[in-house]
Amino acid sequence: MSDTNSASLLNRCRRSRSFVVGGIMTGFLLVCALVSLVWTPGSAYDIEIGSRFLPPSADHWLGTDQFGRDIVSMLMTGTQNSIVVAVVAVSIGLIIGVNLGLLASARRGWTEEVIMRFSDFSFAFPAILSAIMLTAILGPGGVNSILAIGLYNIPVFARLTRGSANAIWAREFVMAARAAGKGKLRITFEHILPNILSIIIVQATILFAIAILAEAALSYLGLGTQPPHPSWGRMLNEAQALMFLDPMQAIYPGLTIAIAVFGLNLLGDGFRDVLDPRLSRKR
Amino acid sequence: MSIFFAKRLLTFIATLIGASMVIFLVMEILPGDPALVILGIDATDEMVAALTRELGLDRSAPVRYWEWVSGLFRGEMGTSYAYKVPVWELVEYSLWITIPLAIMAMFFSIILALVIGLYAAANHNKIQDVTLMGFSQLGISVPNFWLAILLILYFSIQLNWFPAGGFPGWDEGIFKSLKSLILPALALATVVGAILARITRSSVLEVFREDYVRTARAKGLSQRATLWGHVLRNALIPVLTVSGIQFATLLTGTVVVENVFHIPGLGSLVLKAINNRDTIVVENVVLLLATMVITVNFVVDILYAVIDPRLKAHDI
Amino acid sequence: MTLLAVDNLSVTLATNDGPARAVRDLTFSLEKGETLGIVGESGCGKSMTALALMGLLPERSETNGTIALNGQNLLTKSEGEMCRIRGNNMAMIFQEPMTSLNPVHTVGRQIMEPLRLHKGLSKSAAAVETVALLDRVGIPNPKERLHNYPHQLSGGQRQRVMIAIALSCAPDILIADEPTTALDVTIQDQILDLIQGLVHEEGMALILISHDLGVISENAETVMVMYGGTAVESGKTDRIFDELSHPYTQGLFAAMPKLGMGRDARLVTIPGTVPDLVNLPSGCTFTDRCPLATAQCRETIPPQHHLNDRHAVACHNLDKARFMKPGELYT
Repeated sequence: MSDTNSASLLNRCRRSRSFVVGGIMTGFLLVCALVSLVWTPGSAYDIEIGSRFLPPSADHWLGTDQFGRDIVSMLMTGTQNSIVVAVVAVSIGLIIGVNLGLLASARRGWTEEVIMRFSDFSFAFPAILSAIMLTAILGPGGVNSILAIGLYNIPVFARLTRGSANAIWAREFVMAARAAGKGKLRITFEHILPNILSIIIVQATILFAIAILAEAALSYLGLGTQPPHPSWGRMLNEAQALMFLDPMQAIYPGLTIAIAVFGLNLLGDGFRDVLDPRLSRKR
Repeated sequence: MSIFFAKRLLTFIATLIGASMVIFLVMEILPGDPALVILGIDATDEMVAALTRELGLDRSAPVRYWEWVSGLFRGEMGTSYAYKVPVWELVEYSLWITIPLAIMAMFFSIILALVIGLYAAANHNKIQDVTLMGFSQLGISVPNFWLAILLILYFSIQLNWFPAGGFPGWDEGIFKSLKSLILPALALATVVGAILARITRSSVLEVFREDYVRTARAKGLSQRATLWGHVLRNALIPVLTVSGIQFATLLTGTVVVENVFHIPGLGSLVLKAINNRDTIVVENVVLLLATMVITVNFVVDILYAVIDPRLKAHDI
Repeated sequence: MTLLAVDNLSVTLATNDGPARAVRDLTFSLEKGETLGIVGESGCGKSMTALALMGLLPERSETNGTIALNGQNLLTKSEGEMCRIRGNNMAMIFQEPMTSLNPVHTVGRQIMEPLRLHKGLSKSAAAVETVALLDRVGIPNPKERLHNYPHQLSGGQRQRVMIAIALSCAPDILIADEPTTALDVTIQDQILDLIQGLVHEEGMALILISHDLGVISENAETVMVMYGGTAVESGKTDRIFDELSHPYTQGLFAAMPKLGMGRDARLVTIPGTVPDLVNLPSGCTFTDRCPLATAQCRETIPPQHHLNDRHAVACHNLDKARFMKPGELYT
């Protein structure tokens, strides 16, 4: 079992390049989100037609868009949107999915079959398809994208949890616990869950990254967060029409998305290195 | 073997039926009143009632479901509310764009994956490997629609090699049409190709560590002969499986990428339908897309068994 | 001419903790038809020696010395030339039959592979030869087995297939690295008998590697006891087992449970564990665990004392060791 002695844990954190770089990038993202709650260099909302398409300057670090809004501010405020959608969506997937997976693994038999069939089935409906259906009947909006992405995350967590949990159930110390008379519920929470936690954390981080991409895609299509709340995806959509006039405007939001997702992916790799060195075999 | 195939076939059919039911449920039952959804909140009661009668929405759910499904077998998908033409006409035209696009993209991704993955594995831990894996990590992180925009900026606007968007239609010439699909296919292929490249590389490296590779070398096979004769077939099994799953990603990616390039494929069709509140079109297109995904996964499952003899024996 | 003459073979592996001397100045020879047993604990360099002979060491390794097969130094040969020798003049079977065969190829194809590669046989000719080979190694219904996949065979059968593969091109030398360790005890004897029989029929030389003294004593004419990458004792098996000399050899014997020991007798162990190959003493590798070790042992490489009849022992304190019994050295 992995030794979670705090000194060696910290050591592993420092030694993993992915963890450090990914951590810094993600941390930066969080800071932007928090800071933008109280302050942004310019305004992400105010429309000032007089200041349209300004080039980068001291007042507007990356310039302004077609409505005179400050790009940097929009990017920073957009961070809030991406983070909230990703966190809520992944949480939905995690809470429901992990519990389903634990249930399937503990009960086996019919329960497991049914749950696994459902999750296999859900793979036929990628996030965008679900979002399309939801938006068609409920109308576009941030909540719908959260629901669609969250719905898609449930089977991913369920499968992962059930697979890893099954491996733990077969281990000798669990059989010893059962022989000692411990109930399945207690074993699930005392033994199974702690041992699969690291795998779940790694997967959650990666799904977080995917959620940000999915949210961006939905916003780009107009199915996600609606104006006036800034969202990176929608910024890209608006910039695309003006690609010929101001190409840079189309680059910034995409770059931001790429950086955020890249940082999160690295962090996921880093968690893998830190939490369970056995998981990160020589890649 | 036939038991395996039969089991898979049954699962396939069951999944298709299940998918159609879920779609029907979500699109027609859940909203409560489909006619209201189509007309919008401002519609008067009379308008809603009229539309309900017109579309036959006052009949029971199972009847409507059955009509829909049986209609599909006849090639009828109902009539588009927005355009007043048979849905199948709209879908047919778009299919001939989206399917070639998806196939082209899948083709590009597999080539990318094999070339990059194998090269990186062959130069394990050397600078080529690290650089390529770094790029692939980037490839996964980039939104495909942004990549599409970048491709347009460079290859269309800057270099003028490819059109910046639009689809001339197959009547205008195969070459011209294909040309307009290349940039979109590349945008789609980059992300999926990056994922597959990573899997190819790690799979090949893992297989090289297997005992039977040592046996092959002990027999006197050269590194190259071992690679082609023993490693690849085993290493490509997980790559195949993931490719199947990634096809779903690719397909949903077309929804977005078609939009960037203003290509009138299924993606654009369904988005327009959403904006037009044309639930009938949405319903059928979503079913179509889901069917494509389910079918590809089914084919991958069967291929899996063909390649790996261990599966034929055990009834997995 | 001596079939195989190994002279001062040294293998150094590059590890994360530094260079590890897996094999150090190993010298031995093998004649046609001779069976040499190499015995020692895990990590003593037995497998590394075998891999060095075949040229199958991991990439990050360095090999020095000479390995002369029929007078030709294998270490100077190109990879292409080595490929022609492997499976052809020298063949090897490994410990894990369960994973040593490719799961997606039929058994027949895997046996035919060296036949087609080295002998240039056509598919049909190779198939005929393969059926004959399967029969020789004792697999029933060879014609049907040809089309079976490895997972359809038991562990013992898979090892027989491995033997068939090794024999296919009638090599001069067969190297068997722990061929029965992963098999049921009841099958072990069968496989060893099979190997012995085939080796004698073909007049092949056999290098049998094992950690099991029993296996070695019954199947090898000459034996080499290895520890920490060096040969501490070598010679005719009967002689070595009669005149237990080197402290390590005595330790191996003392550690064997014996019939009639009585239930209360405790098993003897050699204190300590196998040495860390990165931090070996510059002298005798057995120093840290030897009951007779002195300061000289740690510093200086022990000389090879040649007792009569090819019996060589490397020890500083040989005189003392020879006249003590295993029970006295290890309690």
